[in-house]
Amino acid sequence: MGVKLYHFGLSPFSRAVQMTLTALGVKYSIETIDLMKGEQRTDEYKKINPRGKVPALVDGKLSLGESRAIACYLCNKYASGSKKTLYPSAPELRAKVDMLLYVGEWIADTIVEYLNIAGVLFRGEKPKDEKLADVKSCLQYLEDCLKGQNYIAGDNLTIADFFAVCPLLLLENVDFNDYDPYPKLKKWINTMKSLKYFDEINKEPMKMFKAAFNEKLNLPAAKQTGF
Amino acid sequence: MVLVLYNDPVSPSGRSVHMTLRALGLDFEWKNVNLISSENRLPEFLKINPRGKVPALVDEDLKLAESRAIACYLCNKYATEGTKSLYPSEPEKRAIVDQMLYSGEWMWEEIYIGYLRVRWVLYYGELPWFHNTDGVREALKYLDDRLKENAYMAGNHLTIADLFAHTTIRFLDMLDFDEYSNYPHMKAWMDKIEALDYYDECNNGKIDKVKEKYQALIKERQKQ
Repeated sequence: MGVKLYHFGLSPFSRAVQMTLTALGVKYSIETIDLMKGEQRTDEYKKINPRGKVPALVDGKLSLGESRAIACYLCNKYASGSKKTLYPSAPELRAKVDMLLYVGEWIADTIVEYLNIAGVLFRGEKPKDEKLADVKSCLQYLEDCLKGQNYIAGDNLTIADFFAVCPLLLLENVDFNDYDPYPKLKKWINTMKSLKYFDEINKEPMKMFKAAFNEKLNLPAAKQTGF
Repeated sequence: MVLVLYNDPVSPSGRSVHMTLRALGLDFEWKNVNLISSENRLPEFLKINPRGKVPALVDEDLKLAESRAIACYLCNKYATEGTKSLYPSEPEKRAIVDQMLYSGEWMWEEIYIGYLRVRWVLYYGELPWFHNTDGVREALKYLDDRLKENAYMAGNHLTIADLFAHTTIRFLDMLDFDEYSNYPHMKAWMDKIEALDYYDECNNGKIDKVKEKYQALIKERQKQ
């Protein structure tokens, strides 16, 4: 049987799960559920995830939705040795990771709202500049988290970092580059991007997303940006 | 040292944490943070939770926010043989509880942001989105479907996922929502949660004041 991920590369949450799988060294197969074609709404897929959301995971008899719950499950089930720090079991350390996973929902929602992704892709709208201040509160929050530690939930890389960086980098779609007020965050983004599995999971989907987004915005084709 | 809970009983997720503490049989000190008078924006509280949200928990050096993370922490740290089923440790079972906790955030958005809009009614002169009930009904149907096969949210026994889902659904009382009986499995489950011996202490009458204010503002605006 093995582990099967129902995946769509343009979903940052789906990629965060992929990063978790890869970091853990779990072998898995992928089935692409193309959200652009509405494949998440088929009866067949709804048997896997009744909410019709991507990603979902099947492992033996278990069908699981909710990306963060999937990442926690994978760690609880498969982490061994040095991989255990991805989702530590000491209650105090784990609490920080869980807290940042939930806070990550606020960060992701805020960025998605600012970029107005559905509006841009499907309704010919623009990003909502009036929401930029909210995005900056998120960046400041993360900057404060990184005070005295290398990763957002502590001294080690955890799944909370995956779930923060993937939505955060959606900001590259509008070439947001104002990280000077957030030096620790900027350094952390570079650390995340230099993970050896970062590019293979994120690079191509991020490029595709940016191209599609910019085409709709009638901007020049996606240009390479870095930090 | 004692656990300190910063909370306002108006907050549904705050009440879920309160029920978690009771279900675990833990002693704690309650510090009230009145949301209506914006005590959550005071510098003392922002030191506990920079996001200014209740509930928050302090346990010695640990300052913790996010209600669901708090409930998980309390179980991970303090559950005993008798209470560990509230948040089971077998990965497959725990995964379902986590899934329901995370999808609870979706239900909350449908109910609070998409329909009741309490904050916008109280502070920004708006009305609830009365017409926008599709998302609410979809959430209730999702729960009812789950509860067809399971007595509780995550299987055949009570978990913290139930304590969170319940306060979210019951917040619909703010608008005297009366469609619960259209979802018989969900209704039966609600009755079970409301029969828990700590339920009344944590929940009864806690939204009355804010509900009165909310409904009065709505009436006033509808007259205009």
